Amino acid sequence: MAPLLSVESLVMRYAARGPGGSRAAVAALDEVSFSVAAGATLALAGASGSGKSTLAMCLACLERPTGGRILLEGRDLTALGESELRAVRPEIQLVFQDPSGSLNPRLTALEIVTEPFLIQGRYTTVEHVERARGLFERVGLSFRAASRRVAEFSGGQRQRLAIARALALEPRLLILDEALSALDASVQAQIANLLLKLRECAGLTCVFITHDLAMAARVADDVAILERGRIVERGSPDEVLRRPGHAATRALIAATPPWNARPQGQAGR
Amino acid sequence: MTRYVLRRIAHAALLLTGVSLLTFLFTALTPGKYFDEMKLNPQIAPGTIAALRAQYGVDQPLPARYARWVSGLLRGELGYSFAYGAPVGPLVGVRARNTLLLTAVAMLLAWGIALPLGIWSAEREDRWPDHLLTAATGALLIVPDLVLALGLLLFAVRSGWFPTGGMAAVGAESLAWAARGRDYALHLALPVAALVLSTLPMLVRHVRAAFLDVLDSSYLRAARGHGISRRRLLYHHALRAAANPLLSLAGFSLGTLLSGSLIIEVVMSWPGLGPLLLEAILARDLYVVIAGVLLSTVFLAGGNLVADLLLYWADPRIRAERAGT
Amino acid sequence: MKLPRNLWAWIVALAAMHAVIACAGFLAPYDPAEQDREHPYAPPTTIHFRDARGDFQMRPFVHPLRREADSFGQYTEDTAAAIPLRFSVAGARYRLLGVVPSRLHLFGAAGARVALLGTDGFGRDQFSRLLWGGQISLLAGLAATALTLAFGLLIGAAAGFRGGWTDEILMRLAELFLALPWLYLLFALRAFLPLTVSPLEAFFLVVGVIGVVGWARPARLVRGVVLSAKERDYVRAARGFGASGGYILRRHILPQTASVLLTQAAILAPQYVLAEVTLSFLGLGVPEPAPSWGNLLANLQQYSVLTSYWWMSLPALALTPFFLGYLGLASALQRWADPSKMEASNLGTRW
Repeated sequence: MAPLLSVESLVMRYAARGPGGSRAAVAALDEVSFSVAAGATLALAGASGSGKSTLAMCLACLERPTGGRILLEGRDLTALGESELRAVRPEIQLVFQDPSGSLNPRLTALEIVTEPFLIQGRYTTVEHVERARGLFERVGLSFRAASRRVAEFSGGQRQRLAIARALALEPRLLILDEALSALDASVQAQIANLLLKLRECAGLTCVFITHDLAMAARVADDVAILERGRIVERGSPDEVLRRPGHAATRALIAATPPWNARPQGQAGR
Repeated sequence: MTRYVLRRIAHAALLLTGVSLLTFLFTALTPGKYFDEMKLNPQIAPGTIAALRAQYGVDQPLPARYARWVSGLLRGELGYSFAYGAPVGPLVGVRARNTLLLTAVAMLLAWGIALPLGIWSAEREDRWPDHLLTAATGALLIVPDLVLALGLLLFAVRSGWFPTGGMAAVGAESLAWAARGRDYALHLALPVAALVLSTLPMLVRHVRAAFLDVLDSSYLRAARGHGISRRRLLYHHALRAAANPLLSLAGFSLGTLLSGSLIIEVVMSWPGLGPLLLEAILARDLYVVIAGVLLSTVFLAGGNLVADLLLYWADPRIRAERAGT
Repeated sequence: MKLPRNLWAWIVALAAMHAVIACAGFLAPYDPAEQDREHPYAPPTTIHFRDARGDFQMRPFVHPLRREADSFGQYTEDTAAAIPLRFSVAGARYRLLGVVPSRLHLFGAAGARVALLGTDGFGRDQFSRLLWGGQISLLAGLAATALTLAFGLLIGAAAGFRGGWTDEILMRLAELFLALPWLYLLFALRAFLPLTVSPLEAFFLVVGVIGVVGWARPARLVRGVVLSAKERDYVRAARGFGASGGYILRRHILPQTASVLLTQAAILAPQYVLAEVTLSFLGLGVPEPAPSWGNLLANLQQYSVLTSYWWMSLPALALTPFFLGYLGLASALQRWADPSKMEASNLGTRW
């Protein structure tokens, strides 16, 4: 079966000032290639500075890579113009790390969740409310909170709202950029379970970007380790955790908080 | 350090060029020819107008006129005053010196009062002396400088203690230097007072705010724990830390001071750029206006340059930032 | 709308003051251009409550003024005639708020001039001129403020949102405008525009000139807001849904500029009113016979007026309550917008 998402030799270079005044090009992504099958979840794990966020931005088509291709069901997204891209955008959605920053504090929860409809010009206003109700339900939020503003929600609830918004346009691919990292440990578990449930119900394909290997192992079918813009290791969570091949992987494992680590054999599905 | 100085000077020069261009562009705004209006002025002979038109290439396109004027400028010529029938340079030079004198004295006095007052107020934050000072500055803030100048003028007229205009009494040159100094001081007193009173409230409030910020910082509290004397703490450590916002404020306050001096000079008849500029506008004396505006900008740019350099010297962070480049 | 009480207090106070000026036609007993050559430089009329016998009268009254023989500006009251002050009288025609024609005035006295603030060299009632002049000065200041903020918003948003060369060029231009002392810039611009214009043309000229020179500082502030808002994740998310630049500006970014613009409005309005007053004072603004606080004060440039006729200085006091109101409003707005820090940098900037 052809993969849903296929990334080929993705390169992202920034012009930066190196020490001594030299203008060196920094490669945030250095020939990154991977693919994800439909309905699967790939976890991309790496330490800070490994290029995770840049990758998230490129996958969500919020930044254009310097080189390489991103193929969604065979269609090259990097070759599309802005107007063509607009039609494709509903297929790929991004959930950000910090829900306080990714949700406009001046808007109500209802306005936030229905914004994608507004932008894409879909459905009538009445349908907006009905669909919003459905979305709230899916992420486990009470619809009575719809008229409240972001400040009145807890961290976990905010992230649920962000996920609801991301699901509004019924995307095929969901990218989660450190979506759990800003949450408390207990809340992380709740949201992780929500994601697993959503995956099952909606058949979503997910790319889960994180620095927490244990969390990656919990939610993903496949794990890839990112270091300095390159993928240095790839395999099932079991393989990567039990038999880490690369130094970067070992470093990540060492950095995992002990209370997150699950006994072996319970990773993945 | 020298590279920084040179860079700032180059920046200022560029700025002045831009300003001169801007001012010159304003002349292109005239609906109808500027010189046509001059023809209506009976004091100016038609021959003069024709000669000036030729000399300044008025019928030529704007870039050519600007180029001519700039080349003249570089030779030290600032143009020709139609109203006075004399080159602009010497005319403006004397006036500029007087404005500079007024502004510089006012600046020093204002800061000399604002700094200790602001620090004193910051130290007594939320106690009644602080509230009193805030109320007093508030009251002064509400009075526009025009009204301030008029009020002081009225005071001078009624009390007779101060002269009501000019820079020196007639025949002042013949006085002994002590009496002459006293005469100058008396003439300077009220315009300076007006300027100082108009900027003082803003300065005091900003100094107070800057010091409140700084006094609160943890490293100062640690220094106090080390037993450093209050005076050294305030005037050495705190002042250095507050240097950044305060020096920016200094540059900004110079701008306000120069603007304020314009109106105060006119009201109190101080022979500076202000009255000259006003006369020139009413007499349609083009080059005097341009020269006056440019000179005021030179003063402001110069003041900002000095503030920048002082900041560079005072704030090690800026030096470090530059070193990395 | 839910606003803190002290903010409401300032808003109401300012609104009341502006309302008084707006109703100049009704509150002023006379037309501002109406001359009375028989009574130049008459001192303020005394309103009497006690008559010649010492009794208290319910209706206040005035005495007509009689000029002393062979004198200029010396008057005595003609105590023989006691003219009652009437309220809701018919007087000179005017248009209330510029629209509704009316002849109703708050008070007046038939047969005597009630000059609450005295008269000027042409015998024109200073009180009426003060009220009508306030309309011109305040309107000019407020219109210029609106113009400056409109420019500032446009340029600041363009620079902040588009970035790149647009930003560079616009910010360099702003730097140029800020390099000149503000009043000098104002005068330079005024210098090259025609001098002898009708009062209406002068009004628009003044508004235009003042409005155009001050855009740089608001533009920078708006740019700052736009730059930081642009980087927010919710803007990225909106882009992720395919939002156009226009939508993002409208929905997410520009609303954030509201507090900056409001605060700037409260700070600039009094400065711009003062700018009009200054220009008119120096003869570069609204010309006679149209009244403006500026040309009312211009009389004081004559030595004799300054020393002999104290009531001519009173227009200077007119500005003070407005300055106080706007200063209070600006402080309250800043505290409301950002309660954590007291932005002292904007307090008390004049030029």
